[in-house]
Order: sequence, then structure tokens, then C-alpha cells
Amino acid sequence: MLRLPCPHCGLRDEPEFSFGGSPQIRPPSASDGEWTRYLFERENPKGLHLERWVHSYGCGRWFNVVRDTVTHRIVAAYLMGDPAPGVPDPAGHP
Amino acid sequence: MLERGTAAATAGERTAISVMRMERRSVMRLKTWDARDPPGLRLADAPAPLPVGVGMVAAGDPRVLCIGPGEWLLIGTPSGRPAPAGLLRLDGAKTEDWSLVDLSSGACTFAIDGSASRDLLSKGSGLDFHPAQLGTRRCARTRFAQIEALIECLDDERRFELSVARSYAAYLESWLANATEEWR
Amino acid sequence: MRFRFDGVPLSGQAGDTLAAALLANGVRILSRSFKFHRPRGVFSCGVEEPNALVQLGSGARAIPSARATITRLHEGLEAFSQSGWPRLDWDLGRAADWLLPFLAAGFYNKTFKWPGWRRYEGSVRRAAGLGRAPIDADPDGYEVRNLHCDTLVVGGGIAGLQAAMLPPGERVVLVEQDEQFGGCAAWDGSAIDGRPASSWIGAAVARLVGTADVRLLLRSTAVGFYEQGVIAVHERSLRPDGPERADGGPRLPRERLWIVRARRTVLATGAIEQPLIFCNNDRPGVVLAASARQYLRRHGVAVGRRIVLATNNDSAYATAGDLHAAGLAVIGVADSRPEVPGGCRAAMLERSIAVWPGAMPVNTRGFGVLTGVRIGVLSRTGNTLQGGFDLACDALAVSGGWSGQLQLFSQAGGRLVYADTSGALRPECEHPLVRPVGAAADDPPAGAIGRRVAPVGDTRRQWVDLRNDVTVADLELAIRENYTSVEHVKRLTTAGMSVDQGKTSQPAVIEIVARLRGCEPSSLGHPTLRPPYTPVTMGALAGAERGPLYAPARLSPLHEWHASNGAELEDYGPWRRPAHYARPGEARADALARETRAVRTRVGLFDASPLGKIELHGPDARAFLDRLYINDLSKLEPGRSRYGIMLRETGSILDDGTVTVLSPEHCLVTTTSANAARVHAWMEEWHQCEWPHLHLAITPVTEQWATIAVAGGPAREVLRRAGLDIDLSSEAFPHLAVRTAMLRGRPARIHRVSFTGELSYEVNVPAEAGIEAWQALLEAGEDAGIEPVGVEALLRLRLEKGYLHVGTDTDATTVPADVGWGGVCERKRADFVGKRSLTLPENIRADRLQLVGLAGPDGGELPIGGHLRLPGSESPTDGWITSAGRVTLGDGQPIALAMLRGGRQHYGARVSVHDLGRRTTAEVVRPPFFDVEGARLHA
Repeated sequence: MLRLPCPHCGLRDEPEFSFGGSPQIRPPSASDGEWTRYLFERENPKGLHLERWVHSYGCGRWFNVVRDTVTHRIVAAYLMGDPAPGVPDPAGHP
Repeated sequence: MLERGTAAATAGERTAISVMRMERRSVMRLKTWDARDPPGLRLADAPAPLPVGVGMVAAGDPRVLCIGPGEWLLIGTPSGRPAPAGLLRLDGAKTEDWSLVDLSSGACTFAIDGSASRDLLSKGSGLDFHPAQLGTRRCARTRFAQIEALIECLDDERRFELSVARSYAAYLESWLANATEEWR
Repeated sequence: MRFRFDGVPLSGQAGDTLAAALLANGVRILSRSFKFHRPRGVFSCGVEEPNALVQLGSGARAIPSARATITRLHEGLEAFSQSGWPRLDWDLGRAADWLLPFLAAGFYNKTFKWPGWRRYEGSVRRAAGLGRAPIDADPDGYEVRNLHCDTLVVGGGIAGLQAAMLPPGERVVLVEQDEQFGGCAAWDGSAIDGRPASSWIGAAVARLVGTADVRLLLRSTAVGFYEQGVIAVHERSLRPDGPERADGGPRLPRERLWIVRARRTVLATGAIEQPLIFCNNDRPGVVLAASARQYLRRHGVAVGRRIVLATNNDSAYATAGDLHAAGLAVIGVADSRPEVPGGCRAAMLERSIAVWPGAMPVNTRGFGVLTGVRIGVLSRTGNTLQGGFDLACDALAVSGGWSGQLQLFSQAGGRLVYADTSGALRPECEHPLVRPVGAAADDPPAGAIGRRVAPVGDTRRQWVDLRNDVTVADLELAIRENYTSVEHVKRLTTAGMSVDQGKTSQPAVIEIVARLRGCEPSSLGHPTLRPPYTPVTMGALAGAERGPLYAPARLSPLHEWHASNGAELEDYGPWRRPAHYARPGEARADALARETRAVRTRVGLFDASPLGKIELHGPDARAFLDRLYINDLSKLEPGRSRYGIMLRETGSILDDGTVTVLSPEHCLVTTTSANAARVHAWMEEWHQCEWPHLHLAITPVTEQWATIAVAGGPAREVLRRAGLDIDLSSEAFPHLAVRTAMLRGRPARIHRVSFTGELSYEVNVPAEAGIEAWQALLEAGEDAGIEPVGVEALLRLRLEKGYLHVGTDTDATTVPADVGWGGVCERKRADFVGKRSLTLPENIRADRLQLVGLAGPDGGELPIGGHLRLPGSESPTDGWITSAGRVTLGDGQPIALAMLRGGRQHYGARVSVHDLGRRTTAEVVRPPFFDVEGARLHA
């Protein structure tokens, strides 16, 4: 069981949350191949991973998490739309 | 099963735990369009704006619980009528960018009282119920006994209210009857 | 206290463990070993016990594989040996011992391969003696409880008590697996600060008990360390005297699992004594030296009358002294170190106990139990023998050093390394969350250690892991077969993989593997130390979540009426709903036929309260919904509804329902009952993550309303009679419209919408007014012959109309075109979720599964799940039946909906239907099966 810091409610147990996968940028005009990759292909990095979670059983808000997939350490949690604080973006997103 | 309106479990002179299902009361859900920048909403005649900060509770009738960013519950006394929309006033002259929905009929609330309240609650949820974390006039939405619940600590630190969706009332009654067995 | 072992009445002292009581009664053989069925006796006095596993109790409360060493004796306790046939002391399985040369590591995986392990599993398991799991439901209660603290101290010995003395305000939890605090100091006679340890312990415990925010737990073992400081603590035997407390005391659960969230964890878990390894070191009578001392000092039980000690460190000398002081014959101490420290030597000299430096046991004698030991005198290098002598004895107390209990440290991600000084694992570096203290952290104060493994002898008789019957020869075989990492050696030989998790074998395995490979033990790492540290019962893991509390059932606001009016309740997703309303003596199929007929010929009343309902407020509410549904909602007028389908981004159907515009800034959508929460979550996700600039608020209101459907020709008349104060004519209130009205003085929201194909209204009233409204409608419909109908009737009626049931007729691959909604998607100009995916090549293939109707043979049956084959098809399957029923009126012909490959090209074709060996045929038809023009719907 992970414990995740909801930016609004504080540290809570994993069963209160739902996992939303890594944030994807929707390609605006994609070929069939690009679109299929967008839909189905995901990175599975060893180390820092950007991911989305929603506090389903709490405030109901979505937020971003930077998690180390090796140690499960939560490096950062921040609001939707905010940049990851002080963490280099592994996916190269702006 | 618990009798409605009767104490479920008592032990010794000081009540270890009592659980009562409460009568229906007015519950209104207030939510703003933009959770990031909640407007300075204020109840008519109230001295202060609505509490900002998830988990904060402002006393009064109705009592106001901040249950999410830009999201509040207005809880009236059991006899109270649902708060009319006109009860709300906005600081600053923006348009009405909020919704008010009556949820009175969909909720079911149990009043929990006694020295074992926190022990009972810790059987259902991983929330930290220590008074420093969930003390007087604080509330939290959590997962309790597998279901969505709202837990509020009332004035006395032994008294809590536990609210769930109405359809789970019978399940939660059975769960509470089982969990309070050790104090019976 | 009276108790029984294998039916033999015995007696023991209160406070004894079962193992102590059995030793006191002279019971030497407690089990037969796992593979070779060798006799085994008590080896230790704690959780590490590899031999003394017994079955406790019988019937529903039986516990298999209980460790006798930590089982507290109580009046009337019944214990059984769980291996050995026909009897523990006359075991035919003992023949396996003679086959020992053949039963090498990997024997089972190599041998029982053909024709399949299952063929052998039963008899192999019986022979292994794993105990019998109770078959009946457990009558006792269990619970899971949550706990938060700043500091969790694991272990209530001296180090743990000291670690728990923290400044006021610190939230502390101290867990101790024994019945009492103090660890060894509670009984070993040591002194702290110049006074007896027991008085120091008493004062420390009293001080902790009186401190706010400190919680002490006895009989509680920290069994696992999980991410971020979550620790599972297993609290046992809350009711040691049996399930029902005669004294009227609290009705406690039998066991608890505490889920502790700790900011810091202190491991004061102590150390466990390790054995020496030599030939026939598994014989009953060979015990750990410190355990022999604990049995003596704590329980007043001697492990033997003539006792030899063998050690490679200082700690066994205390045992020798105590046994001697108790008047037992201590023959001598063999110490594998060439030089014995002066203090140990002097203490033995004082008691005239012989000490043999540079000596260790190399073999034992006995038939069944131990009768003698051969002590070998080691050469200067320690690698050969230069002589030896035989001693007669009935107990051999051994000490091979101490191993700090660092399982939780390892589970937390801390790195351990083998230390030559202690012959055990110790922390390689610090861990941010877990700090070992006391004997768990340090090399135990037992002096340097000498040789642990005898240099000579038949390695097939030198046991490393007593529990899993693993010998030094098995490790040799693993190395010969090129297993190099200790993790792999462990998996092949199963050393350390049984219920004791290698607590008395792991350091020796590492040492021996290193020697065989010719490398340093510290370079080998160590096998994963997995949770749980000690076995946890299923009951404790399940807690209260069993029986009626296993899965929360949701009940409609009308439930009380259903329950007292003959409803057969079944679970549909999370909801417990009336499947049908049975009349006395009526079969299910007859009730179903009666209810469907009532709707088609008269009028039915259906509880639709579980239907998901979500309100959206705000200027952008309608625009938001238009982006989520395949249907064009942009021109939907206030007061009107539209059927809508929403897709996943992959283009597959997520859910369907109606969208209603109540006012320009207020919409209401309905969802399938099972998907209400999912659709709400879906909407929140798109609003919060993708379109936060849209101004709206989403509110699930399913629970707020009781929803009652009135369906059938006279529905309008029923509503009118019930006192509804609005114009119900089709002109004023057409199909797919919504009106608000007053029903018996309460506000109601009426939707004209149909899932049956009949004229139908859904009456929504606040939940608490539901039963009153239901009864009013029943009364108003009495003359029209109204009947309540259940879920099954509704599903059959919608099947007749060919209406989609998402999740039944569709799966996660079904796109709108597969179910006849492709045109709607193509006509909608605006973008919507899933639109882009609809033109992917996979989603437009001509041979996709498509929804069709099937008409079955008269008098036959179309089975749900039955597979279809097209005429002349070579494929094993061309699709399957998703819903099935019968036509309501007329001959009751079987009908079905099915997903069929390229389905719509095959209208008129006959397909064969295959189900569990039965075969029938059906004609592919275009749904619906009833009222094709929809005349009833718009009546």
C-alpha cells in the first residue's frame, strides 16, 4: 500500500485513490499509427515516473505525482496544470 | 442491527461507545465552477466567508463543511428546511458561478459518541483520528468500511458524525454492530 | 492444567507453552520431518521453531501448523501431531529416510513432472505433514485496525523498552510478540543499574502504560514492512481461553491485524540463536542452548538429564552454568574455537564442568531419540579431525552464534551483509525509516565465533534447514548444477522457504555456499526476506470483511417494500434488487412470464432507483456533455431528453443513458446502474484534466431520488389517478420529455422514457418519499391490473425491443458501428471523446463482431454464452449470444441478441449454436422482435 500526499487533504492511503496512468499529450492531428501509440503505448521507466492520481474517496480532485518506481518514494505531488516542482521532466514535456 | 435512535452499546458508567442513526436533515452541496480560485462566498447574515481549506468546519445553522477545493456542504438541523439559494451572497460582484444542490434525501448519518469513538473509527478507515489531526470542527472524506464516507468531529472530541450514501445504510448498520461488539 | 497430545491426557503448568509442557511430560518426538520422515523434537523456544509444529483443536476452530513453542497452554487444550502414519512413533513414511540418497534437492520438480504434479499432489502433501485446514466456516471474529504513530518500536525487550521512552507528546507504539515484556532479561536473572532486571522492566512498563499517546501490544508480531513506513502487526490469541468468555468480559475478536503507519521504526527485534551443523544434528534431544536455558529458568523444565553442550561462541556457557546449578548432569562443553576465553573457562572450572577447546560434535547416536554424541577434535586449521571421543547423553545443547532479526529492515529496502565476526547478516548502511537497536543491530555480545559446520561426515546427514529437510548435500548438488546465487540455491533446495522462513538456517546456507564456491560470504548478498515474518491467519487478513460484510450491498429506498412483498433479491453489480416478485408456489420462469405479460398486456411498476443520475450545473454544462456523447446535444431544448452513448478514447462504448436539459444551465444525465460511479469519475476526469476552463459543476444525485417506472398502455391513466397535476397527453408531454409536477403534495420529476418499448414514465421523488409514491401508484393502477415487476422481466422486455444493455451486449472492444450507431457518429460534426479512434483500421473492419438478433427453434432454448458458427465456417467461433429470452406474447419463441462476425451481412442465415456440448440452430434476424414501428412507445 502506497501513501500519497493529496495536495488538498494531506497524506492518505492508496485505497482512497485511483491511478490515472502517466499524463499523455493528445496529438492534435495524428496518423493512425501515432494515434494508436498515444492510446496504447506507455513508458515503464525504472526511476522517476510522472503519473496522475485522483483522490476518489476524498476531495475527488485529480493531481500529479512524481514517484520513484524503485523505492516508491513520492518525490512530488502538485496540482493539475502546474509544472513539476524542481523535477526534471523525463518525458520532456514543457 | 441497531435500533434507530437508540444507543447501540454501553459499558460501565462512562459510555464506551454509542451509535445512533440520525434523523434526516438538510444537506446542501455548494460547488463553484473554478476550484482554484474560490470566490468569497458568504452565507446571508454570516460574519465570515465560508471556510477555505479542505476539512475546515464553520459552526452555525447551517453548519458549513469545506469538503473539497471550492466545495462545501451546508448541514442544517434535523428540522431545518433546505437552505434556499438566496441564502448565499457573493463577495465581489461576479455572476453566480456556483451550484447548490439538495442532497438531503441521499445521505444517512450515524452519531458516534463515547470514549472508544476513535478506536471504532480506526477499524473502518486508515485516517489519522488523533485529536491533533481530526479534532473539534474538522471533517474528512475518506474510505470507511470499503465505502465513501464523510467523518466530522463535533465539539466534544468523543463525538463524531459518520455520513454515507443512503443505499449503504443497512450495510453500515451491520458493520457498526459487528465492530462495536467488543464494547457491548 | 490438563491437555491432550494425540489423544493422550497430560498435565502442565499455567504459563507454560505447549512445548514446555510436552518436554516436562517426557514427550520427545513431536513431528516427522518433511521429506524423510525422521523423528523430530523441540528444537527452540520461540517463533523460529522448525520442528514442533502441531495441529491445534478440531472442527471449525482447528489451527494447522501451530508452533508448540509459542502456543500458551490452556485448560483442555487438544493438540495433534500432523505428520507420521499410522503413528508418530511408528511411521511407515520413515522408509523415505532409507531412500534419502534419491530424495535430493529438486527431487519433486524433477520427478513428479509426468503426467502432471496434480496427480501426485494429494499424497505428497499428506506425507509432508502440512496439517489439515478446517473445512467449516470460522465461528470467531477477526478485525483489521489502523494505527498512526511517530515511532513504532518492534520488540519489547530491554532495548525496545528503552527505545520507547521518548519525550512527552511523541506517539509511540511498542509491540512484543511474547506474553510479557523484557525479553530474555525477564527470566535470565540479569541485573540492570544494580537491581534485578524484572523490577526495572516492571517500572519501565508502568511508566509507558501511564504515558499519553503510548500504546503497548503484547502477543503481537510486526510481520511485514511495506512502502513508506506501513507495518502490519499481527496480534494473536486475544481470547486464549476459547471463543466465549464465560466471565462476561469483552467479546474480543480472536485476532487482529494492525496496519501501522509509522514515521520511524525502531527494530529491537533481538537475535535468534543458530545451530551447529554436523551428522544427524536433527535428532530429538538436540536443542538450541539458549532455548534449553529458557525452558529451565522460565518454565522449570529440563531438556534432558545428561547434557552435553557444543558451541562456537560464549553464550552457551551461561546455559551450562544454569543447568549445572539446577542439579543436572552437565558433561562438558565442546567449543569449536581453539582458544576459549578465560572468563568462560573460569566459570566452568568453578563448577567442575569440562571444557574441550577446538572440539565440536561430528555425529550423534540414537534410535529415535538421542542417546549419545561423538565429539571430534579439530586440527589446528580446523579443516580436519585429529581424533575424537564418544559421550552418552540425552540432550545436546548447541549454539552456532546469533543472527539479528533484520527481516523488516530488509523488507524496507535496507541492505544487509554477512559479517564474519558474527556469522550473521547485519545492516550494511543506515535506512531513513528503520533503525535497528540492541542485539538486532550489533554483533551479539557472545564473543567471536568459531567453526559452525563440522569438517567431516556424510553431508547427506548434515541438516541445514530442519523444517524443509535440506542438507549440506543438497547445497553441494545445487552448486554442482551451476546454481551460483544464494537466491537460486534457495529456490532449488527450498532452504529457508518454509513457514519458519529460514530463521535458523539462512546464515549457514550463505556460509556453506560461499565455502563451496570458494568466495567470501560477504560477497554473496542474501536471499530476499519476504513478509510475513511469522505466519498470519487468513482470518486476520480478512478482518470483518466476510459473510454479509464481504461486499457492501446497496439497497434501494423502496427496499423495505420489496422485502415484505415477496421479492426475490439478487445482486446486480453493487445493488441488491428484486429479480422478480414470487407468488406462493410459483416457479421463477412462471413469475418471469407473468411479469413480462403484465407489462405488455396491462401495466407494470418497476423500481429503477439504482439508475445512475448525475446533475450538471453551469453555463457550459451542455457543451461539456456534447463533447462526451456521440449524439448531437447542441440543439436539445430545455424539457427534452435524448438517448446517448459515451465512448472511451479507444472508441469503445463506455456507457449509455439519457441526457436531459432541465434548463439552459442545468442538465441531468442517467447512466446504467452499474456504471454510475464510473461515469461520474469519467466526467470529473475530463473536466479537471482536459477542460478545466469549462464552467460547470458535476453532482451525482443517484441517492437523492427514488425512481419508479410505470410502463404499459394504461400508464398515463395510472399517473392521472395517482393525482399528478399536469397534462400527460402526448402533445403536451411527448416521448423523451421531462416535466416537474406535484405528486401527493411533494415535488416530483417525471421523465417520459422507456426501456420496455411501452408507453412509460419514470417518476422521481425524494428518496424518503419513495415508498409512499410506490404505494400510491400501485393503488392508482389497481383497476388497470398493475403489477410490480423485477429486473429480470425488464431485461427480457428490453431484449424484445433490441435495446442495448451496455456491459451485457457490449464489451471493451465494441464500437458504436458494431451495435448500429455508426451513422450517428458519422453525422455529428463536432468532436467527441473517442471519435478519432472510430476510423482506425481495426475499428472499421468488415468482419467485426456486430449485434444481431437470433430467432431460435420453437420449444428450444438459446443459451447465453453459446457460441455461433456461420454456415460453412472454418473458424472455431463466429461470435456468441449476449442476451437471451423469449417473446412475451404468443408462442414464447426463444430469441436472443448476439455478437456475430460481420453480423449484419447475414440476416436470414441460419447459424449453429454450441453450448457445453449441446447444439441447436437459429436464424439471424434484425432486431427488434416486437413493435417494430414503435407505436406503443409513442402512444
